[in-house]
Amino acid sequence: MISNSTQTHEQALLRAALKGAIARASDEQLEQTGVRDLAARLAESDLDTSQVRNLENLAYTTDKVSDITDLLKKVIGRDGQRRRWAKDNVGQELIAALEALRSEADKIVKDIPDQLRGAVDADLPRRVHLDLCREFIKHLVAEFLYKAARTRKQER
Amino acid sequence: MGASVLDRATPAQRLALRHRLAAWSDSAQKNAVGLSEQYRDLLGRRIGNAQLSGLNNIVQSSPSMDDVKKFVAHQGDKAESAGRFDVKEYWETVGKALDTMESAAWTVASETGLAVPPKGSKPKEIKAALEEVQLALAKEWVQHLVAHSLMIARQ
Repeated sequence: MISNSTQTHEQALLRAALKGAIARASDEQLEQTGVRDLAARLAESDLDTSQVRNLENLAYTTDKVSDITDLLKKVIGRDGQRRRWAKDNVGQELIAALEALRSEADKIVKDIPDQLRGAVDADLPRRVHLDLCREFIKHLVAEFLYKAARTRKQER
Repeated sequence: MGASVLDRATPAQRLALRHRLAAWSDSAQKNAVGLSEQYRDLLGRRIGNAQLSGLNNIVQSSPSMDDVKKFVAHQGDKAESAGRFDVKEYWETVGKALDTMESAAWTVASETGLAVPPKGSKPKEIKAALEEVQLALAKEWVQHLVAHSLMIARQ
């Protein structure tokens, strides 16, 4: 029989292990994914800051990955003139990039040490996926703001 | 009228249900996307954004699954009257998908530890107990369906 304090200790260790793995994956996203390219293309579109901030706010308040991709699909659908999220399929590529993070989440969960396996539940890969999406969007927004500011400066 | 499973749920069970619904929603997105893709050629043409928004509005605002099912059946009937049998088939498929949410609601509620009526209970009793959960699932599924449909209708 496992005591409650052992379970709590195991869960705390798991949270710490996941935090480290997600931080490493987040740093790698900047180099190994197309986040910079996507941000640059969004900065060249007619998107304004508030529309990108809306995406970031949703990502940090929702408990579902599908809420993020649904929001993107809706704004792509509303972009009749293809000047914002639908420009050159940038929104759809962003959805694909976010969905592709699921395999990274699965890998992070698979690599959890055996001694912490008891604290892993079936929903964990989904929650790690959500955390990776938040990290990706955080980078995307930061890069977007930087590039959009530079573009505006050059235009002055 | 019987009681909903949520009437006697503890705060911990309500929180557990919220987590379970989130997991269900993310897993159900694939099914909704599949249905949209199956009828890709009709979207934005024979099935307009107004109809999809109508479905989304009713599922988000109605307290009853019956209203949602009536809306879907009515759209199918209108399509049939107009001789648009492919559109009628679309609405029938949507209706069948919504019907499956009763058993999904039973599974989600029982996995959350809520006091679900045993299988084989009277349909009225099951409906009263699970309708709120069923509506919550329907809201998620329809949001996925409508979002993906709006996107591909633009292509």
